[in-house]
Parts: sequence; C-alpha cells; structure tokens
Amino acid sequence: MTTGTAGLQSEEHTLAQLARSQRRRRFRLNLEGYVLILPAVLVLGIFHFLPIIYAFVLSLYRAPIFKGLLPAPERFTGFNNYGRILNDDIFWKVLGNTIWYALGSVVLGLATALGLALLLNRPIRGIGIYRTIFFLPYVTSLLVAGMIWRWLFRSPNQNGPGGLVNSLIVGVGGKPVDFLGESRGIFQLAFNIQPVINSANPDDLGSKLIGGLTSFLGGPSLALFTIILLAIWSVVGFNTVVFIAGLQNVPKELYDAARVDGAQGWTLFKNITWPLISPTTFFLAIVSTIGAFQAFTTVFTTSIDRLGGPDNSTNVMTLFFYTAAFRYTQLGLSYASTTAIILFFILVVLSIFQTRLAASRVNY
Amino acid sequence: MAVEASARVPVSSDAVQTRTAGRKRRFQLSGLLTHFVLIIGSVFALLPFVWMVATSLKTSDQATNFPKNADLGATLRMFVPTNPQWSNYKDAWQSADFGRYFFNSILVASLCTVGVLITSVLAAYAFAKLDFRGSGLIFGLVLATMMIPHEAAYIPNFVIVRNLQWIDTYAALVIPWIASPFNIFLLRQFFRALPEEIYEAAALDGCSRLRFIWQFAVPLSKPALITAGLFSFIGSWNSLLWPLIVTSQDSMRTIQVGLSNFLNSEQNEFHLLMAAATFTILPIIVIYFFAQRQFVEGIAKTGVKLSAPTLH
Repeated sequence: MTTGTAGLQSEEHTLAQLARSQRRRRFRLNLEGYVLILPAVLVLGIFHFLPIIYAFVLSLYRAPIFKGLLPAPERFTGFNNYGRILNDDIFWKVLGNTIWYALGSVVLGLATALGLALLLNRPIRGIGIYRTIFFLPYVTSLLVAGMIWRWLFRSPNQNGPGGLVNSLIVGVGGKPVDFLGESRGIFQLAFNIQPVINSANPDDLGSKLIGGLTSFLGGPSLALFTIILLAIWSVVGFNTVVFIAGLQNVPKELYDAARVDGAQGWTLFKNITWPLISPTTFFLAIVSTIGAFQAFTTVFTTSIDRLGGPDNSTNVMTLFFYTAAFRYTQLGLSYASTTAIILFFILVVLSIFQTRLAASRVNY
Repeated sequence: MAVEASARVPVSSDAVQTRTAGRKRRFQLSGLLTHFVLIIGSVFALLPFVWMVATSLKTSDQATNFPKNADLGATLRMFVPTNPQWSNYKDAWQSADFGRYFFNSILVASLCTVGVLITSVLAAYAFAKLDFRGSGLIFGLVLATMMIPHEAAYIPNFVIVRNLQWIDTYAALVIPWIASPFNIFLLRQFFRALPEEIYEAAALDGCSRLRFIWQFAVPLSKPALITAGLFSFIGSWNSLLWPLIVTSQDSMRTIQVGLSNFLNSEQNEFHLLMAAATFTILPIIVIYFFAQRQFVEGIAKTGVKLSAPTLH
C-alpha cells in the first residue's frame, strides 16, 4: 500500500519534472529564436517599417525645417498638406510624368526583354556571350549610365550637332534634335497637336483640368522619353534573364505535341508560350512598375538641369520630394513626407490591383 | 524530332530525307537571322560603354569635335581615339578626392554585405528551424517590409538619422541597410531543407546553435549566400540617393555622390567626366566578369525577386 502511494507520488513528481523541463526547453527555444532574429528585426523595424508611420505623422505638420523628432505642436495642421498638394499644379504634372515613365519603361522594356529571351531560348552558339553583354548595363550604376546618356543625346549647339546621336542623325541627312531640352510631348510632336489653353481664364478649375489632361495625352516629353530609353537599356538584361528562366519552365512536350498537330510560329507563341509564362510576365510587371515609380537617379542625372527640367517635363515623384525636402526648403520635410505617403499609397494600390489581376488571369 | 516523326508516321524514306533537308536549311537561316538580331542588340547594349571609353581617351577639343556637315564616316571614326590621352584618368582622379570616395565606398559596401549576410543567416535560420512563439506573425511582418518602397522612407529616415546624430558617419551609410527581407526569405528556403536530425546529433556532441549554423547551415547555403552577397555589394556601391541625403562633408562622400558632384562641377569636360565614369564602374565590371554565373543563375534560379528594387 505504502509502496503504491510512494510510486504514485514519484510518478507525479517525475511528470511535474517533465512538464517543468519541457517549459524550460520551450522558454529556451523562444529566447533563442528572438535573439537570432533580433538584429534583422531591429533594423527592418526602425529603418523600413516605422518610417512609413513616421512619414505619415510628419505629413500632418506644416514645418519645412525643424529640430528633434517632431515639429512644435502648434505646427500641427492635420490634412492641410494633402490639400496643398492636390492644388499643386507641379505635383499633377509630376504624377503624369511618373505614369508615363512607368508605362513606357515597363511596356517597352518587357516587350524588348521577351523578344530577346525568345531569341536566346534556343540552341544557338555564343549564348553565354550574348547573355553577358545584355546583362552588363544592369550592374552598371545608373549615375554612370545617366552621364553617358547626357553625353550621347547632347543637344546641338553653335559648334555642330553636340552629341553622338545627333551627329549620326546629321550624318544620314537628318536634322539634329534637342532631345533633352524638348518639353513637348512625343505624341504632340508626332501629330503636331496644339495644347488646349484657355487663356481667358487660366486659373479656372475646368480649364486647368482640360489643360492638364491634354498635356498628359500629349505623351511624355521627348526629354522624358529619352530618359525612358535609358531606363529600358539599363534593366532589359535583368528582365531577359528572368524571362529565359520562365521560358525554360514551359514543358517541351507541349510544343512537340502542338507541332505534330501542325501548329507553328505565332500560333505556338500565342497558345502555349504566352499563357504559360504569364506568372513570369506578371511578376516582372509588378517589380518593374514599383521600380519605375521610385525612379530617381535616371532623372536626377540625365535631365538637363538635373532638377526634372525643362519646364518640369521630366520631373518624377521621387525627385519631386527630394527637391522639396533638400532644395526648396520653403516646402521642406513635411511637404516631402506628404508626397512620400502619396507615393506609398499609389504603390500599395498598384500592388493589390496587379496581384488581383494576376490571380484572375495568370495560368499556373 | 524529324526522326521521331518518321518513326511514328509511315512515310517513304525519300520523303523523310527531303523534309529533313528543308527543315535543316530553314533552321540554319533562322539561326542566322537570330544572330543578326542579337548582334544588333549587343551593339546597342555595348555602344554607350565604348563611347564612354573612347571619349575618356581624347583631349577636351577632340571630344566635342563632331563633323559639322553630313559626314557619317567622320562621326564613326570618332569611336577610335587617335593619340589616346591616358593622362585624363590621372587628371580626373586628382580633380576631386576620388581616392577618399573609393575608400568610403569599398568600406561601406563591404560592411553592408557582411552585415546583411550575418543578420539574414541568423534570422533565416530561426524562422526556418525554431518554432518559437509568434514566429509566423513576425515572419509575415518581415515579408511585408519587402513591399515598402525604400524611397518613401528616406525622408523620415533622414530625420531619424539626424536625431541619432549620424549625419556624416559610416553608421548612417551602413546600418539602415544591414537587413534584407528578401535574403531572409531566400535563405529560409535553403535552411528548411536541412534535416533536424543533423542538429540533434551535433547537439549531443555539445555543438552550440551558433556553431552549428556556422559549420553546417552556412556551407550548405553557399550558392545563395554568394549571390546575395554580390547583389548587396553592387547595390551598395551603386546607390546614390541615400548617401546623397546623409552626407554633407566631402570626406564622407561615397563614389557615386562624389561622381555626381563631379558632374556638376565639370558639366562640359566630357573627357574627364567619362574617365571618372570609367574608373567608377571598373570594380563592378571586374567583379561581374568573374562572377557572372552567380549573377545570372542567381537571378534565374534562386528567386528572381532578388533585388530589382534594392539595386536601383
């Protein structure tokens, strides 16, 4: 009897011991986990996560320059800055430019990359050399690339054609072009459209809207288009490599089967290649769009005055808030934060939209 | 493929032969056309580099001396610098403190690379192997930071860095960049494939967790680490906006900020600008040629997302 109780007691004892040691192990495991992730989480939290909330807080003040972490409380103005920005003609122009920059660099860039990838995804000689060459611009700093671009597309002057591209144009009998100094839209230039300006009442909201819309539909300025070419040149190798990876995942048997049925060329591409690489295409579209909306160095380096000129026709979102914060200090940090928050929301909406679209359209 | 078809479809051997020959000829022709298009593409990709180097070897007058009239031959001859001016490189190097900028960039890029690899390995291992409380939620939050545009965070980050009194310090250039959600995500995939028994066996022998990570996990994920490290180094070397914001003293400038400033001061001295541009990208080009497999295959295989946003 007594021995039985003692046995039970010792069993309870060991159970409790087991539970305690298990708790201790669990605690140790948790602690180990937290310590290991701490450095990464601290840096990401302080410098990547928190700043978005912080930018929002700063955007609620009207304080171009301030000391410390927050401006003085009497500087708090609520959503005032957002109203200011929506009434800022330059902001709307910058937004339009950014949309053209993204559209141009993403659509033309991806089309070029897909074309190259299709050519490179077949058994030809020297494939490694081509890949190396096309990828080279991607590792080159955008500042250097932009400097070369400025020089290649330099405008004509009294001494002659100015830059290499114009010299080539003149060489084949054309007229030199003021690439980086031309603020008119490329469609406007191509179809010779005159912009609609209501000179009687230029500040009227209606005429502002119509003027803004027509200037947007005139296309990116030739100067911006020249910079879009730079963006495409620099990233096309990256997109090509990703497309090649996507193409190699398409099962070869599908092509063989379709060929037996007599399909070839364009039919093969339309019915097999294009649907099956759609995950790659959507992935690249998302990454490139987000990248294009954040473009800074291309415009900062290549635009003629390095500030988004001529006439703000190459100014984009990131350059806009950089200049607001660090050059035109009457606008300052709070105004720049407001722009940053708007950019953030545009990108979030774009990502959600593109992910939705991908979910409904992509064939996995 | 023609052979396969002939095996399946009963046709006379003559017909097979002519068909094969026709296909072969067509294939060769399309191969030639492919090369033609790819060579034109390569010319476009390389021309800016060739022009950069050509200009860097001319005198100031030669550089801008384009033919006034339609003379294509004379324009094309400008690609070959007669009497190359190697001294341009020395002149460019000495007209700003490029030695200091190079030193700063090498230091910052190396610290960023080592830092990002260390924090990523530790965090990735924890997320892959230690089922600690809240790991799923925290991992989700880490992934969410991948969606945040860096640029939108620069203004508040500037205020944070200013309050830490880090303006014009290496801390400002390095510390915000020593964590990468993508690398954590990438390495976690690698570590998850490690069987838990290896650790248990090693633990019985008295091996600590950290030593295990260093001796087993790290070597096993070497390809991913090399790719991540290369991209981190190049991304840091090429970054402009952040160093531009947090440095004001000349002695703290990185190579890109120094070069950007040089562009302002030497607007029309194209021979010097192109010489400086050439030596700025030279280290990256050298690394690229030695490690291009890791680059290209890293992007193609280990997850493409790698760093479209962080590189540019």
